[in-house]
Amino acid sequence: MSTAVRFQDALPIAKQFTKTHYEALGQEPPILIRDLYGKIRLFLRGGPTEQHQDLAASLTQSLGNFAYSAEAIFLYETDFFNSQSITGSPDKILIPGTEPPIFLLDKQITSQDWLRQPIKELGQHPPRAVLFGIKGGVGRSSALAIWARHLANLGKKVLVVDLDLESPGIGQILLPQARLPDFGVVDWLVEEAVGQADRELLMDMVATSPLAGNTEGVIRVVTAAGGKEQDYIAKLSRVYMDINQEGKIVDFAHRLAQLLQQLEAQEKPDIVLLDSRAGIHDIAAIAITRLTDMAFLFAINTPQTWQAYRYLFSHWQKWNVNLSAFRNNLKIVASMVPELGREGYLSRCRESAYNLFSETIYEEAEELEVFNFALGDSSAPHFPVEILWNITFQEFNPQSEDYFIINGAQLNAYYGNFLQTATELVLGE
Amino acid sequence: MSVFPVDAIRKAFLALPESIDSKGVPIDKQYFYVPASHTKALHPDNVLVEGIRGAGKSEWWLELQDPERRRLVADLSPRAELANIECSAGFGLARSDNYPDKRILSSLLRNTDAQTIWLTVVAWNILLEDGFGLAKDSLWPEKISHFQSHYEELDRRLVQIDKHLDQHGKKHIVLFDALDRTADDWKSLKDLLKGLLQVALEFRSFKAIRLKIFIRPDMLEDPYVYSFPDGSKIISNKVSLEWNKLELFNLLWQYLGNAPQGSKEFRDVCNRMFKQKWKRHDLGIWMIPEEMRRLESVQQTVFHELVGKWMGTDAKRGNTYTWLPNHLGDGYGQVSPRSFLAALREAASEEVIKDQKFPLHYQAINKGVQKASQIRVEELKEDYRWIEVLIGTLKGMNVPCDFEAIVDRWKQGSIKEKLQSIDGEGVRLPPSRLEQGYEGIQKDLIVLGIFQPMLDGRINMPDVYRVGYGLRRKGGVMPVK
Repeated sequence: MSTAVRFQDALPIAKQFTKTHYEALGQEPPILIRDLYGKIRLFLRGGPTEQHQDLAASLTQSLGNFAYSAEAIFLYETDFFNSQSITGSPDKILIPGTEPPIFLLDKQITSQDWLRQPIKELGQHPPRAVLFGIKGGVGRSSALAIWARHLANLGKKVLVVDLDLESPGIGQILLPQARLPDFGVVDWLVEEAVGQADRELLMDMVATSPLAGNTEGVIRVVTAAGGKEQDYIAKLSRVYMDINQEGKIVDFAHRLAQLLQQLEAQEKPDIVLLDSRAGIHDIAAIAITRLTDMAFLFAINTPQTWQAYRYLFSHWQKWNVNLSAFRNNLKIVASMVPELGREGYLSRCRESAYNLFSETIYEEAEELEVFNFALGDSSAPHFPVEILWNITFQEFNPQSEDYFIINGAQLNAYYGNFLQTATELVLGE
Repeated sequence: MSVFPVDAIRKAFLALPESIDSKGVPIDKQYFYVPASHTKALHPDNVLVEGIRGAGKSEWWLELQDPERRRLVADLSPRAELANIECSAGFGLARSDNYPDKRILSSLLRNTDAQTIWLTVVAWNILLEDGFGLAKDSLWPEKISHFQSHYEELDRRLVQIDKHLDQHGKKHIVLFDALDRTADDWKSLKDLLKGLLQVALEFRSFKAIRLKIFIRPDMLEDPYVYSFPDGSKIISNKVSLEWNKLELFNLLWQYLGNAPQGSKEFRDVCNRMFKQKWKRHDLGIWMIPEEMRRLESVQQTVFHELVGKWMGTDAKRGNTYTWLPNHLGDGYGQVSPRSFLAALREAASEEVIKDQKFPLHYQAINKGVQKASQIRVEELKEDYRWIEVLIGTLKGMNVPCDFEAIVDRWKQGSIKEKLQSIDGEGVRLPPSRLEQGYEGIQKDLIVLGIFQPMLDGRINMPDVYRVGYGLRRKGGVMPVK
């Protein structure tokens, strides 16, 4: 008995098949469609020919359980009333390295956003940065709070948005319970779906953090949930769906973009900081690749951290669809760097990060102008900007502004490098 | 827009030297700049001065022999205490009657130990023909045997001169440079180095007679050369000629502030916009303003107005002020000043891009660094002929890579045979650890800062060499044309 065709085998088989029979299948570029189960069909531009029957049977046989039946495995454009949903799909991508071209339409329940184009927005938006960790618990939210305070100290108006909808937190760091706004991000998503995202709602979504009280600037905070939230899970379970907005289907990513635009129009911040969901989640995908100007990728130097990042980076490398649109925006943050043996830790971390980037998304070349950086180039995306770990910050809960005044010197020693680099990268100052 | 007038400043940049130095001709005095740390190296009491290829060893060897230059340095940097000294050459690149050349040394070594040879050279330099007691055109074997047979007498004369010099507050320094040109094999070279260091130690008991030895770090690497009683006294007091970021930019200011064209505009803007007032020295040289010389923040502000703040359209491609020295550093981050100046000179000779806001464009800086990389490779070739043989065969490879992949290339290119047949004039020394095989060669290349070992054992190469030798950097995707 032959071995089973596994998920990852099916697509290469189908690709090879298409390449071999390219002419017989019709001249126009064919599109491989992989459905939610991973089963594959082939969309052909012309109509059926006699030869196709045999070809269909052979493809069906070679794909095993990931095949459709021979009668259904070829889809013909002529059979469709409107084939635009396939030929014009935003998720249709050219399979890298195929000549003549073969396209893929990969239908996924989630994660489609990792390869989609940046969202086209009308007009300018203030600089946006997202803080992301492939694993949680690496001090991402603390860093965000301290950075926000630093920016306020520089006289900036900072808008912080908690996009960690499935485990919210940044709001609690920046705002005391009594100061939480009435509504949160989930409220807007639910209300907007029924056409009720009005001005009042938007105004009641933002609160001022007392942590920037005496600074020249201000920190305005949008939390995931409102202060008197009772129905969080019921709301959360409804936020990711596409909605029908006056006859147009709008997906979650575009809705998030709309929310940000409206908040920015209302608040007029100098900078927007997004606290992203950890892990390979759609919110992270949207925030990193489609919405922001800068994505700080938090990492601690463990094999599981780099392996998790590698799943993501390899996905980008494999499909290489719109890498150039966001790869410049990435910067590794080495968080929780131990004080003892700091130098050694950082050089190990730097090398791990370098290997990740250079084996996946850096461009291979001789010249200096391409997207590729030397191991020791401090301006490189892989070159970690460090945050030192100290027991003082273990239970980070500033509560009042005094915290920053009392611990100022220490914060500067442990976070200084990050604060300076991050500010420079996003604001250019 | 830059606060500097673009055209005028671009002309000033053209005063920077373009390529390899013309041997034996010192730099024009208006471009002469002494980094603060080098002042220490020039002080007569500092015997051993180390510096990588291009750090300025031969330049100093030359400058110190010129009384007018010495006066200038003494004036600019009083701490060097060069006001009342005499200098002569005990070895160097140029041919001279003051010292034996490589061939003579090689035959002398057959019958004489290195220490005696150098002692004779020093005595000949200090005593001159009358004091030494031989005619100017006498041969080196004659000088050696004369020195040996009249040792006590000559030694006494040296002591007298030392006393005399000291009473008049003077010093005499015998200068040594280009010591890699004293022998064609490492055994003889190391013997000669060891002998020279022993002689240098002997003269520590003198008050006014001193040796000053300019040497490359890789030549001091084998402890053999200083393994003699009190050898550590010499080695642990060595000083380094290094060029840190601050000093590299000072060198640039020196050129821009004294260039034949555009320098007035440069100085005027420094004064008007950054409150950095240039003053003129009696010798007609414009002197770098204090803050511009000492503060990175001021240097950065000025440089940003010359080339823009970023190496691209925004901060993501890095700060130009740090980017440039970073990309010219070897495996230890050391930058040769010539590469630095060459990169900027090349950038200034690139065509102006439409709507260029600053005198130099970041794209031109990028090109300049590639050019500087080629120049660095040429520069290195003069001191280490074997590097070309070894790294030349790696052209087109991707780094970082496993060392085994490099060895495979070397085997295919039969480098062992090629290394045997390096001949002709100049330095013919092979890699110092050649007997240890490929591992030894690897070690040599690491010591020279050309190979950079990674933590996982793979070999990387800094850009300044990688680009010049035509290697590629590994990547996961191919660039879009």
